[in-house]
Amino acid sequence: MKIEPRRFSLSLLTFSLACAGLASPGWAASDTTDVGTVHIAGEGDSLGNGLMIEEDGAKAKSTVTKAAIDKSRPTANPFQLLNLQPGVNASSYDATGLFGGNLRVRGFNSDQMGFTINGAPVNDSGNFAVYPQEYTDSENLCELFVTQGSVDTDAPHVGASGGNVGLVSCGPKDERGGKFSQSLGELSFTKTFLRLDTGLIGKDSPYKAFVSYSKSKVDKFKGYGGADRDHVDAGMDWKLTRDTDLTANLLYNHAVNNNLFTVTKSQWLTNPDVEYSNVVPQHLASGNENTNASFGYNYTDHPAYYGYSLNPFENYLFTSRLQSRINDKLTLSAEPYYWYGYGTGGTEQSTLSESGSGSKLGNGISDINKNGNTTDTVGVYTGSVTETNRPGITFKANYDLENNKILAGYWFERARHHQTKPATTMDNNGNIADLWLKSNLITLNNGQTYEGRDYMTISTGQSAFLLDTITLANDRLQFMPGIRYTSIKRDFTNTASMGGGLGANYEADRTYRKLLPSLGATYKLSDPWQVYGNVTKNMRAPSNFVLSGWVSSVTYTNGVPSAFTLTPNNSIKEETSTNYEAGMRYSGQQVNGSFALYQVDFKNRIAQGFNPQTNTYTDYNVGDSRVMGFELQVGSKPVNGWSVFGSATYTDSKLLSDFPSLKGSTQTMLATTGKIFPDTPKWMFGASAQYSSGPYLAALSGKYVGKRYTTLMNDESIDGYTTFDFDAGYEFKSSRFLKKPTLRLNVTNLFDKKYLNANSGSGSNITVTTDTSYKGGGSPTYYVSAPRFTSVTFSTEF
Amino acid sequence: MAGLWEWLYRNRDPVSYGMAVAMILLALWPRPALQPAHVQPSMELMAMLEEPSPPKEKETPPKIPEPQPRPVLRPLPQPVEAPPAAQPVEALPPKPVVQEAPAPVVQRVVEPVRAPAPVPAPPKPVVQEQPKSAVVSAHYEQYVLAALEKAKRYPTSREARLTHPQGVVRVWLEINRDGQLTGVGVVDSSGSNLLDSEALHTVRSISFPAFPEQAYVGQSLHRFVVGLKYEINSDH
Repeated sequence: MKIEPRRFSLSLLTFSLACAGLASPGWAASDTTDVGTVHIAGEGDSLGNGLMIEEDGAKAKSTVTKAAIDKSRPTANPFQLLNLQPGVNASSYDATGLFGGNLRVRGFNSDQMGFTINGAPVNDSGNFAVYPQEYTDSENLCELFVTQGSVDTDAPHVGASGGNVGLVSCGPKDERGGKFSQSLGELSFTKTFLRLDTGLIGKDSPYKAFVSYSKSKVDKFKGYGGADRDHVDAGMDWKLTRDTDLTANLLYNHAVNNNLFTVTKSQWLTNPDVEYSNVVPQHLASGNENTNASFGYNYTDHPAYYGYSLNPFENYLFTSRLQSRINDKLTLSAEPYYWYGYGTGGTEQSTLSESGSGSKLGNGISDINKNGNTTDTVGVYTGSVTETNRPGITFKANYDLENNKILAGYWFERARHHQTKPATTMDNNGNIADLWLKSNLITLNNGQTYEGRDYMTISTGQSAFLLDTITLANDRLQFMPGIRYTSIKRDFTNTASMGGGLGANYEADRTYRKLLPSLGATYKLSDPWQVYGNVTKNMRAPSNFVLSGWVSSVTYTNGVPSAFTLTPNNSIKEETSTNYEAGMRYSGQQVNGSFALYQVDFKNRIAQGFNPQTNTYTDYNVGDSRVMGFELQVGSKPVNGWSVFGSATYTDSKLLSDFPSLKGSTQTMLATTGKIFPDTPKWMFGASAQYSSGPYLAALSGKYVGKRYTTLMNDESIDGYTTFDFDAGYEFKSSRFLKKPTLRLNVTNLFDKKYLNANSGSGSNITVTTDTSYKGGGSPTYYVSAPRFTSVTFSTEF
Repeated sequence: MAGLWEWLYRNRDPVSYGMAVAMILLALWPRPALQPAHVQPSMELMAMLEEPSPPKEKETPPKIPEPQPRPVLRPLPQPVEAPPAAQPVEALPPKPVVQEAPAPVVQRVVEPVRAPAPVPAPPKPVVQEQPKSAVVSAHYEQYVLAALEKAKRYPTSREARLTHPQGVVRVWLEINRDGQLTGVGVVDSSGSNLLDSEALHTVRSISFPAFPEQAYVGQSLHRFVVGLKYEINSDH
């Protein structure tokens, strides 16, 4: 009997026959007996080493299962876990994953893709950025999936012109118990994880719950400082009745990381280890601290102090689902969520100039160093703070007819996004008054808090969707027409602050909306073969930043803005993409594979450019582009202990428009037409081979990423690279108290390959050209590859 | 989309390499025989079902161990053992049948390798008191069960992957003598329509063989009930 390659097992529990020789077919009269349950024996059953499942939808999709997650280092972030999947170009700033990383799929950056945890959106509600190191502990993660080309019709995204990524956490277990895991590694790496499960409690409406806590720490692989992360996950499942379930999950993350220094290519060639300084800048007895020797810094010979380049972040996410089966056709669900995030980042070492002038906001910055005058320029700790309160809910109705499944739903959220930039003080020993920038803040002479920016954006996102799955031709053919009406309204309130373009109060609002149709189909050819295809339209709203910085020529009278000019940025609209995809899948007994061919027409891409209508250099629809290519993945089931997974990606991306820029003060067009997308290699290959025998397991995986351009003009590029990772494990015999005690070894970058990763954090912040005579020109910066890193983990359930 | 053809032409090299690699990998993969992955009446099974009526006792045993490549299709010894007790008394197999029948299935799933062992033993007792029809019918039932074992899968839709529903669906299915599925429905819901319809979908995806002559004698169609238990492996 074949064993299914999934974590899910399905057993034919009972089989009864009601012989109906005389009476009418009497199934009701027959008894059935529960004869037990078939469980799948974990690891050995995985398809493609746990790096794929048998997909059968109308979209290209790849899934990483628990079996693969369990082999990885426990701190691995979702980007690392997805790295071998077709279409995915992922990089991590370090080997552990605790510092974050970047992800691109089909040329779309992670902030152009939709991310969900248990169905709730986790992209930043302002600029759609994604911080993978904040999410669920991998011990509690059951599955990750990526749809390479487009978002799912029912997914709650307004900021995804590319595909979507979903993280699904494991619910509580049926049996009471828990899990403990301890990792140790180079660079003082430790992770301690403890999870407790209540097991099923109660009979009529049983519930179960779990809670886990983890603490992770690692030093940076170069320079000073490290990452420090505390994380809590909790979950509850409550089966109210046979037909009604209530689930809830909570995630809490608290992290303080020192930033890794990014370098230009020439810096890397001369000194690949260039890093933040370990010299604490000293306050001067009087006068100007804005010198390289003091709090001023430059990136070449006087980098900032590492202790003042921090990324403190705290967030929690509550997700819940109440689902009820109303009758044999209708199922209703409500899925509320609440996201809270608070943090700052970048290099916070800076200087501020005191002033006593009434012609400045709030009569200028007060006496920071308390020396009795307001004439100094003082070293301060200041960073962009974002605080998000984001409640939302999705309602869904599933209506199942025999050959027709209808999914209708509505998503709503209201994100309050408060973005500020306060400042605080530090002493001469490197102690910051409050590194979270919540207290001991510097004030203006009128008593108000100093802010380098202070604006509130209320983003109201909505989406109504309808998806029909029509089954025809004896279940061989499925049609999936869908439609989604998505909108986001941004209500923006600027409170006068000392930031450029932000010196007076104003309000603005913008609404972006789009009707997004999709059509998919699958057809089962002769048995192991299936073909599929879809056309899907996506959209991404501009970030809330386009509503900021409209103020110019402000005059202050007695510290209050009395006259100013407001220049609205009216011309920017949402970017849209249309994804055409056709593919083929093979689901054999020993091997599964899929091949997808696609084209993405990408319109009105948003990037920083020169907008001739406003005569400003801001986010702007810079033109159209097109991506074509194919993705292939193949995975086998274990044969004599061996199993393999492979993926190949070919991406042909092309900008279709010239880029509006300025040369000096002259408006000009840079000839970007025909150039290749930044950080989008033509070829990528991923492969993994695994051998497991009894208690032993060993897996070697490799990834090749081709040459990547890092400017829109394609005048700078970084070489391709191949890295290998090695994972091994040994499972000891279970004892009375310890279940499945396992020792695991993880080696990242086995051959210590040295390479660069693009630091193109956002889809819109790409360096245009290395020619600095153009606006937006400059040298792109890079993250330096992390060297070989080894860790061991002992874990056991109990 | 016109651009696609142009693009395909310009990139014919990488695209064709990719497709070639895909084809080669898939075609050359060492998979056991080139049998279709889905459940269709196999030769062995058909042979088993046809069960040429000759001398009852001695002929039957050799048939049973016959099928080699697919353990699925091996006749399951135990269920056959059960009926004798009940059979003489009532025309319909009451509880005992039901209780015993599924056991071997489970065993097989868990330990496919061990399957052959029990095979030799049962045949004899089987046939002794057993009316031919019951034996043949039991074989057919085993086929239905085995076919379901093969076609079963956990749903892969986005909804299923996000919500991981679990539960037992009890399904009835009605097959006529020609092996056509004439009806299928849910007896007891799992509490999840997604699983219920996946179960129905699974049943519909199977091609059943015609009834052997001696099975369900006198019935133009026959109804079966089966339970499908969907669960998430909480070992992980």
